[in-house]
Amino acid sequence: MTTYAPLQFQPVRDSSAPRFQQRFMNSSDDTASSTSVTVYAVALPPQATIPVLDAAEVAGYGFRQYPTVDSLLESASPSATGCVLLACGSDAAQNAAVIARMKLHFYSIPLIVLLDSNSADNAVDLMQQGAFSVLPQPFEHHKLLHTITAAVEFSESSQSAIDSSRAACLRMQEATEKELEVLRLIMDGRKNKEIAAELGITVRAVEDRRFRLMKKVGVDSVAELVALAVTAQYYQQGLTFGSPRNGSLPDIRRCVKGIEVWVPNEDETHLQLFQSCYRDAAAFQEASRGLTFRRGEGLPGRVWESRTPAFLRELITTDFVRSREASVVGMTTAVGLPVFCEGRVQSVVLILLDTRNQTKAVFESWRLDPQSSALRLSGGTYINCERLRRLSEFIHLPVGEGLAGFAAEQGRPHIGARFSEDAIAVRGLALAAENFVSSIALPLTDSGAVISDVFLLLNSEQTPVFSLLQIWKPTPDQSAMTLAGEYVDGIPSLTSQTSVISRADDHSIAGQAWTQRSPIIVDNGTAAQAIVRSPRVPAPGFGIAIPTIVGGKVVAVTVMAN
Amino acid sequence: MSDPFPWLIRYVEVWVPTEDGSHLTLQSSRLVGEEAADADAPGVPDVRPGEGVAGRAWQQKSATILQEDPSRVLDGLSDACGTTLKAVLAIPVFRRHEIRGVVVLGCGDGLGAAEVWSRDDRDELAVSVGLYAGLPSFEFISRYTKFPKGAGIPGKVWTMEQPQLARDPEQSGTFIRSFGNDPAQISAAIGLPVNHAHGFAGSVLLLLSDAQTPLARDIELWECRSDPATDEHHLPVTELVSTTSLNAEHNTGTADAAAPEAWQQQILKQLTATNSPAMFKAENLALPDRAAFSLAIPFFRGESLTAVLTLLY
Repeated sequence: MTTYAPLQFQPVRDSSAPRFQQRFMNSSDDTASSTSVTVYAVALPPQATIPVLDAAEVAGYGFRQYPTVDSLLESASPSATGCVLLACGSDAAQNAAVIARMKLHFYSIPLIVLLDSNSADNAVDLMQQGAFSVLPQPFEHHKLLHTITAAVEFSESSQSAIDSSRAACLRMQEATEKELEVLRLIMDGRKNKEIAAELGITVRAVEDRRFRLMKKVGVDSVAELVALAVTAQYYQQGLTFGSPRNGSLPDIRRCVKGIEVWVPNEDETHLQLFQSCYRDAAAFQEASRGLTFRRGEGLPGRVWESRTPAFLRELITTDFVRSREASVVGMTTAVGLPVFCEGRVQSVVLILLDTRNQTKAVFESWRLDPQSSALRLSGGTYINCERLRRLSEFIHLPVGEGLAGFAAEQGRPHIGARFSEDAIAVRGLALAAENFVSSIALPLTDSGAVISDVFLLLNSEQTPVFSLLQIWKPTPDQSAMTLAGEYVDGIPSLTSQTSVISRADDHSIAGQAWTQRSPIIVDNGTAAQAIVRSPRVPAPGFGIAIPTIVGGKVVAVTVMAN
Repeated sequence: MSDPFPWLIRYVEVWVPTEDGSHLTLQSSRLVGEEAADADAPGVPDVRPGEGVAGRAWQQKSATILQEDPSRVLDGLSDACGTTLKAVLAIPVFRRHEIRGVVVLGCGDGLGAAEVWSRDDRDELAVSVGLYAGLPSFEFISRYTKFPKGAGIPGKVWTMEQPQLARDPEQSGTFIRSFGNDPAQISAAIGLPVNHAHGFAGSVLLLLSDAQTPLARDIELWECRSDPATDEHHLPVTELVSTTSLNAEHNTGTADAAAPEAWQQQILKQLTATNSPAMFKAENLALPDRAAFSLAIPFFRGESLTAVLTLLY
């Protein structure tokens, strides 16, 4: 049986809502807004550069110039404040693609498009596609200055709204489910007496809950409390997997092409495919059918033999058995993870990725040195963050410190987020600077009892491998599991603590992974039902639940989904 | 003449061994900056191994940072200098087993860092003591960073057994510990080895400065080559092979490409004769860039002078 807290805020109506919501669609950046305002100029012709620079200087803004959109997106933080000036040509499709990329990258940076005289007819299209303004060249200085100033003002107010919304969301996390129940009814306009009747409690209890909540979140009146909740709700509504309008994923976020679970046969002579799900990879799926691997053979066999995670950054250029099919369907990278049960590799999980489309992600394996009680990096793959790799190679993490060290000490999985503020995350500022928003650390028990390695996945803001991360923990009497942590794109769910899966529940993948002591995959058809989640967390397309078994007991189940 | 910058290093001392090698004696001390002048150093005139900052660096064969607060040594030095010193750094210079001097640098207010990297039992370099200003996140990550031989600037210093100079390390992306989160932006890095006997003694002094508070007006690293032959004074012939400067225009490739300037030749000649660090005043030597004085520190591999670091103030 699954129970949810009955928290449902009323929809917030605001005339600026569509644009505003769009601005903080992915606004989980922990670095908050940048203090410096910058005018970013991209692909400007020489005759346009000086007037733009002059205008930026007059307005007191910084100025940076980039030859291409790619170079801008590589360098500029999504949470930057300012505006982008981009010279566009007459190719409407190309312009639309560029604007879409900009909108996806930045939270609050408006785009001013500079058009040459031959392309002036495209102005309306460009505005409809999301350009803040369109200026035909040559332009007048005062008009340019006015447009830049207006764009920056918009950027600052958007960023400020995101910051306020995020801050409110964080304050509301202090609320308990019972307090939120009361708050919801207050927001519905109910009186204390009505609330008490609906919840079956006394008026005094209603007042107590309301008072406790106001004290926790630091407000002095009910009006302030409601305003805070509404602001927090804005942020929560940003928790979607992709576009809020049609619920579909932008292509750039579809980096996971498949997940497989391989298990040894009874004689333990080879691995066979136990479960799998793929996204647009029919040729690969076909090639996987009936395939088996001996110890040391292929990526699954290597993981089985070495009993440690393994990483293949380039499937095309290595001896990946299904490399031809991988190439056909656009799989470029694979990560293999052993799942142990009482000292035996119970299964091997393979995550198959398409990393061609500006994907940024990191998978690491940290090995515990029992002599020094510290973890060192033993392997990994760094997709579009070479600098982090170079730093990580030289980091040593005492047990208890760092994302991996903490998971090793606890002997349980650990979700990391808000890296710039997280004292546990030794590399926190580096992760925040690289726009990583969440992590999952899975401790591995080679011997069955003692943690030997920690597998760490880092999700970037723009291309999270798994947007939804959950950790379920069995209750002391082993009768149920409670949701101990739930994050979407690095933002914690407000209501995670009350979701419960009973042992008898066999429809959820977390429950199945717990009772079967094996990883369980769920795909497009059934993910919405099989991944139990908090009320306002949107339905994922597919996911996997992985049990962590220490000393013969399932101590936690990790769910990763997208 | 007024200096355009407040220097991070406000005070310099050079200690050299007495004739019998049993003590170090203070050869010269100098304030840095606008008020550049000879300074009266407090304390005993001579030190034995373990005594004072210079004696401690000598005894430990390691670079040393003193930053206790309050500190008798720091307070004494500050009073004598007429400027507030936040920390004192010392680096010993050995030629084979013989102490050839200790350079003591007094740091004032400013942005930057000084770190002593020491070899640990895993044969890696880790920060044993560090002084940081305006670099909180850099300081934090440094506690968890270890460099094997060849990695990072400390590891390169170890491999080369030579000082290393890096201009704008953050911009060049070579500085892996910095992600631009800190108020200070590291614009220059200098790694100095402590060599003893035949090579690296296990300690590197790394100095990092922000552009607002540079370590010196200019810093030059001279790569030297000693010839087994001797000159008319029976001194080994030492050539300047190349010069690396924090001011890019001063860089030269090889001695063939650009002959050493007179001031460089003169400093090299004295260091070859004494094998000890020394200070050179503008009154006695025509220094470049209107510098008031220069501090020159020799580095040896075994008996051979292989590099000279000059700080111009």
